[in-house]
Parts: sequence; structure tokens; C-alpha cells
Amino acid sequence: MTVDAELVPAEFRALIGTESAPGPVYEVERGAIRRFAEAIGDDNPIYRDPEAAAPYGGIVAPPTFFTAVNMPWFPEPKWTWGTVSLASGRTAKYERPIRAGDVLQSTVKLIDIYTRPGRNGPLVFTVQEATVRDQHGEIVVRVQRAMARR
Amino acid sequence: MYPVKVTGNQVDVGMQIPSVVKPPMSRVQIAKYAGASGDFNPLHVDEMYATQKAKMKSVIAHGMLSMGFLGHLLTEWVGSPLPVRSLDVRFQNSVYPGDVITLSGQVTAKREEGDLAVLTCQVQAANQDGVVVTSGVAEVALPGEA
Repeated sequence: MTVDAELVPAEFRALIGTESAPGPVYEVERGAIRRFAEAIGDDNPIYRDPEAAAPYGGIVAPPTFFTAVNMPWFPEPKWTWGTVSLASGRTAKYERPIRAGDVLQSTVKLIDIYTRPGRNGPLVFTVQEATVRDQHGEIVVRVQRAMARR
Repeated sequence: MYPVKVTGNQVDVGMQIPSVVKPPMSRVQIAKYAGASGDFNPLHVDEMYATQKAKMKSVIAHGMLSMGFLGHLLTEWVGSPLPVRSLDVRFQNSVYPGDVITLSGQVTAKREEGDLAVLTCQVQAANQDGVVVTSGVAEVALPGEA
């Protein structure tokens, strides 16, 4: 994919294809799941009531709860141009839902950086992928995150 | 096997997913979501930053909050997150306090995988003016029959 060299700081471009060290360990707490469900306005009892959740194997987290798990995303580079960096998309691929009691840890790979013409000037997209594993080393979810600089 | 609200034999390609309409977006909900997700980007929680530095008309809701809404669309339809295999979205337009977001979707493909029916769905979140704020594709795997 095309990268307009002057737009992307060289030190950041050099990181494409590299993978981070594992991030901090994140313990999935029932209260965090409950607060997240409340914040998205979903009152499904499987997110808060152990009895309601029992047929599902216990309290589970809503599909986008992965965003609360701290992941070692590559930080935004020191842009020398533009007004703002915005999230442009997310792709989540689930092996299973996140559950209360999970102990998770992620690594992040910087997949790609590319430029596109935008309405008011160039847009630079950065794509990273986080792999989230549980306490048994099993992958729970893979999350791709795209950021746009304009 | 866990409970599901709908099975593969009840779903046809072209079917609409039952819509979900959210209460108007508020700065309080944005703040709750910032706390629950740990994303304190000032675009969402600092009106001065959002309007003066980032030149927006106000703070905006997190793109991930609209993705959370699309997750809700799916789990409301099938009963839980367990059948959801993937959710892939693009954030296209901002959501502002006061916006009323409607989640909708349609089944665009169906295939068999053993005794599962794997459904591909186009999903979208649109505001009160019909502007699509976030849209994408989800994959859901349901038991073929009850």
C-alpha cells in the first residue's frame, strides 16, 4: 500500500511488521462487565446476573468489551501535520466471548500504514492488530484497529 | 448447548434483523462509556479540546460506543454474545450529544457448517437524519434448528 513518505515519521514507518512485547495482564471483573453493559445501554441480565448467565456458562461480556482490556497499542507518532487522529474502524474476530474471571494478556502488531486522498487533504491510515490470549495461552479474540490522521 | 433466540432454519437471506433504537446520546452516556472502556480521549470528555483544538461542534461519542450498539443489535437478536463470530465496522460520521441512533441490519448470506448455520449480516448505526454513523459486517453462527 502506498505511503507518502513525508507524511509519516520515519521512526514510526520503521515499526511496520513489528510486534510489541505482551501488555499488562488484565483481570476481567464482573463489575467492569456490568458497568460496560450499562454504558452501552444493554440490560441483558447475562452481563450481571449469575443465575441468568448460568445456561451460558457464567457471566459473559458484551461483544465489544475487548476495548476495555488494556492492549499495548503502538502509540500515535509525533505527527508534524494535521489536526486530529481519529479511530476509523475496528474488526473483531472471536474464538469465544470474554468472560468474568478471564485473565487476559495481549500483543500488538503494527500491520500497515497507508495514505489516501481525503476531502480536505491527505488521510494517513495506521492499522494494528491485537491478539488477546487467556490464562491458558488460548486466543480469545483478535482485534484490528485502524486510525486515520487528517 | 446454550439457549439461542433464533435458529438457522428460522432465518433466510434478505431477512431484516429486528431494529434497536437507542435513547438520545448524552454527555453523561459518553462519560460513562469513557469510564467503562478506559478511553479518555479528550474528543469525548473535554468540550474545549473538541471544539477549539479539534474544530468539532461539540464532544463526540466514541466510535467504539456505536460498535457497542451494533453488538447490542446482534445479541438482542440471537440472545447472547456466544454466537457472534466476528464484527467488522468502519466509523463514518460522528455521533453528537442529542443524536438518536437506530441500529439495523440484514442477513446477506447463509452457509452450513456441520449443524450450524453461519450467517453474514450487513449492520449499520444511523442517526435521526438517516446519516449512517457506523456500518459493517457481522458473522453469527447459530444451531441449524432448535
